[in-house]
Amino acid sequence: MAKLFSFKINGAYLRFLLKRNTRFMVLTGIAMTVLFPILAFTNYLIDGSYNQFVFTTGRVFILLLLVLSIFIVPFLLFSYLNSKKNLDVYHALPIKRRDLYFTTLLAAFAIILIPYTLVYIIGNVYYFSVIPNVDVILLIKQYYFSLALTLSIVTPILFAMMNTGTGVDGLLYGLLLHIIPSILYGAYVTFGSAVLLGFSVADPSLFLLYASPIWAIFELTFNTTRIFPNPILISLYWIAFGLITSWVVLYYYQIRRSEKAEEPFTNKWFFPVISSFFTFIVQFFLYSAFITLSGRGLDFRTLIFPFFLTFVMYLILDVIANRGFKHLIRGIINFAIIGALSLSTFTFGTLFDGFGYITRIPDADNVEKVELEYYDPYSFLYQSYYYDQTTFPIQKMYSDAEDIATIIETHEAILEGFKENGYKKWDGYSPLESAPRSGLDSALYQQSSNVSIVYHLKSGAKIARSYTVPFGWTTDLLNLVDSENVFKNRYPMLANPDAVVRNTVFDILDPLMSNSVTLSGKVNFKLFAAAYKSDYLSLNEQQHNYPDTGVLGIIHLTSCTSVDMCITRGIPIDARYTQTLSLLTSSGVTLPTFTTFEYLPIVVLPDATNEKAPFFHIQSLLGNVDFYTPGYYEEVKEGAPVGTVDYIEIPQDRIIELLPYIRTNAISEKAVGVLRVESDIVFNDRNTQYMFYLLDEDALPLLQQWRTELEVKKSNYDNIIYKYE
Amino acid sequence: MIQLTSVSKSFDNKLVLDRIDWTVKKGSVFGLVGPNGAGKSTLLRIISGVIKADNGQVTVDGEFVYDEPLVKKRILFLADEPFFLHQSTLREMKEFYKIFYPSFDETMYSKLLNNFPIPENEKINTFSKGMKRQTGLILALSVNPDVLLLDESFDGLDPVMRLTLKRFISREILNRDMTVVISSHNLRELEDICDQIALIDNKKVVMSGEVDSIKGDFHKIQVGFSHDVKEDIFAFLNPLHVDKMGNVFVVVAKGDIQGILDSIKKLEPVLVTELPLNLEEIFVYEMEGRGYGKTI
Repeated sequence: MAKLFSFKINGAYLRFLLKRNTRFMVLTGIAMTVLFPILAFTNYLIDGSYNQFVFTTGRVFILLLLVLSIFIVPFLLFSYLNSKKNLDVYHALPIKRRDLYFTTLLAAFAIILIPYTLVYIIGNVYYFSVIPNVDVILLIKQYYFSLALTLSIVTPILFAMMNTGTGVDGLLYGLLLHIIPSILYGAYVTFGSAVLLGFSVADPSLFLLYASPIWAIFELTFNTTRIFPNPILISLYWIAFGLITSWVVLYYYQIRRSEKAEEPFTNKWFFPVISSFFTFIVQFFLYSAFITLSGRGLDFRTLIFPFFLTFVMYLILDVIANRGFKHLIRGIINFAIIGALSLSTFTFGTLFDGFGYITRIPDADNVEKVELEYYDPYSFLYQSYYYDQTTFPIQKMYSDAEDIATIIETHEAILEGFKENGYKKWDGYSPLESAPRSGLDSALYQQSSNVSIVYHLKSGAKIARSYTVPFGWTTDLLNLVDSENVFKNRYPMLANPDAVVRNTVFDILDPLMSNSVTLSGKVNFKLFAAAYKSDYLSLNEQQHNYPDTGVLGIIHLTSCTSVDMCITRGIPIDARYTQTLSLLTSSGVTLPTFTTFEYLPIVVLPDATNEKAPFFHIQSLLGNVDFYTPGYYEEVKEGAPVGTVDYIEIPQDRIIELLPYIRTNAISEKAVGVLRVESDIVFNDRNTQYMFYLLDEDALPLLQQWRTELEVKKSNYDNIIYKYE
Repeated sequence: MIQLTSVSKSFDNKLVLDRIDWTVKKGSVFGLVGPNGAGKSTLLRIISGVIKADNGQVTVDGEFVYDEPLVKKRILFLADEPFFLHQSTLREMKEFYKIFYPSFDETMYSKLLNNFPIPENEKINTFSKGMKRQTGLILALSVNPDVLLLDESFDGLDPVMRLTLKRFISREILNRDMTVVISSHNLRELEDICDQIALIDNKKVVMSGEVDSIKGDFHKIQVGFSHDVKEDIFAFLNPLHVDKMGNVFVVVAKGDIQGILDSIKKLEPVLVTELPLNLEEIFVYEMEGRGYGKTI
């Protein structure tokens, strides 16, 4: 064994190999030059300016060519392994086999990397000379990563060559060895998605980063934002992998049976092991995929087609391996064994719910922080999908103990919801379909929320789960409203004022948005942001979700981080925002007051006699507006008008009576009224010019009075919301 | 000296060489003969270190060969199908061999090129089969090895070239004390060049020795009778071969010639004449005696 680690490079033979393969290097070099510097130059000739993206594309192209040459060069240099007469000469040469192997391997390495290195340098010197502020360290790191991973891509191909006797088989199985990690990962993800409730992958590319050197070379080279795991450590892992597998390949090189050259396999175990494993994971993948596609759950009829599909695939591999149909019966028997194994593993894994995967929730004491993505149908917390994340990245990480406890409670509530059905995902069960069809319950349980949780444990491990569940199962998460993360996501420009280059709109509106006053030039934006943030964070979740004071004004703010990246927010202010109000007053701003509307506002009346009250919210004055009316679905069944509600058109002079009761960012679980106004002021990313306000419970006597004084009309629910009439 | 001690080799559990003990003296030219599949090429591959024996030892001048570059530098194995690098010329192949064999002799190379009209800068893959063989032999002889192993290397050469090469090899052996092992089916060729011969059959070296000594041990005798006799009359000689044409027999037998003649004369033949016997006939009769090809 110790002998394996001592070798000498035969310099003369190395030079000979390099000289003989000069033409290949020149050809590769030309191809790389065309796709990197010449591509950039051509683009310059067309556009008249240099585009950084073209250089990045060029780097991707030459890396692709590098990977391609990694697949070709071993077959150029080690081709003698596939010919008996060649082996007779090579192995009769007065050179130790390990020296011959390492000298040839080094030559392969040089032939692959010399053209790449030259073109990388030429292309990037060109890049450096025409693009300002080039990150040279990044370019060096990218080169290092491509260098570091080359060996680890070469060695699986060599391993395949050591176990096969022809170039075609070597190439086929070299490709297969490189494909297997991706299929394995695909099988894992597809199985998890199809069968395991809450299945999620914390870092989708993490597995392949460690399992596939081809994936890793592109990920490390071009994903410059990756921090964990440390890219340098991953590259060292792949260097170690390359070195270890080089010696494994050397071992196989030394025991390789040269008399088997020109036959498909030189190692009788290679084909059975690789093809069986490959077939097993492809079967697993297809079972899961077909279960997902069919939507029938674990129905064995669904598995028949993928079973026979892989049967054909295995027989084709078997026929290629045996160069004929001579061993077909043996192949069928082998497949029967593989098929039985994969089918039983699949069934076992499915019936036993992934062996505790589903119900696992970490103990709060073991959790360092939690990454949460939450998309609720009412956008209570924030509307992360409403703005370009490159402007202000979404804040997902919660490390406060109270927030972590809230997330764990929600996770427990979700599992509790699924417990009734035995946590089964694959039987087609959907909690949404069995939800109540009317009233507040329907608002809670008819609409789905997407919750993705990634627990970062103190041990360094991660547990990821993802659910689509009724909104009512996730309402605990609304308690996060007072966290700084929610503030950052609701009002990112106020959380990051330094990132704001300019505000194209910075106005204050009256509570009903009939009138506006500009704050630009009067109020210091950064001071405003600090004051508002301080006021916001001083309120607890109860004060946020159930405000007890009327809105005094709404800040209309459009902030830009660069020319093309701007977002708009409506930011409510009430009496509790003392620092903000003080800043406005000291800046000489008088809050605007209500004037008039072109169209009469309406108030949707609650049905006080019906406990299935409207359920309503308004978030940030920009969200989708939704509320539910009593008996919406029941009436459909009975053939009655769909979702009919009572409303009153409010005369202009009487609307002022409602002002003390209007709320934004509020939740009500009681039957209260809803005010709709049609403002001329339209926020640029709203899809309706209607504004909805929840009325406080205290407004009920006033509304009762209006029922008698004003005309009560009826309308379709959808007309109230979407103005269909 | 090449020394094989109890060398065995199997492929896929099929025994190809079974405990072979064999010695080739330094400076000798050894002919290796045997039926197809007898293991001649395997034996040469083991001696040259291409493959490793499963059991036993192979040494050249007392040194192990397998994966030992110092010993292998003195051995040149020319396989039955010569190898050339893809798209290479003779000049490139010369460079290839020079890397590994410091003994490569440029003078010899030039001399061989003068004798064999091979274009040095043309692609070898455009050559005829015979030219490729010549190319292989030029390179092998230019390496100037102490041990030259030729596996059916004369096949495909025209008679003139064969003769030239034989002369060349004979001269080199005399000049350099080179040891040569040649495997071939063409026993007439071996007879001309080899001073020793070995026969491999049934996984073993069944016969090995000097050509003259072997030839002296095999005898072909024509025997005529005045009356009709049966073939089995010669059974007491354990003959390798008996041919009958009327009352005239041709008997091939091993042993002391005088003893054989005396025994035959006791049968009162009217004619007893010893006929010439070449190496090829000896090989054929010996193999027939071992049951090889007898059924056809």
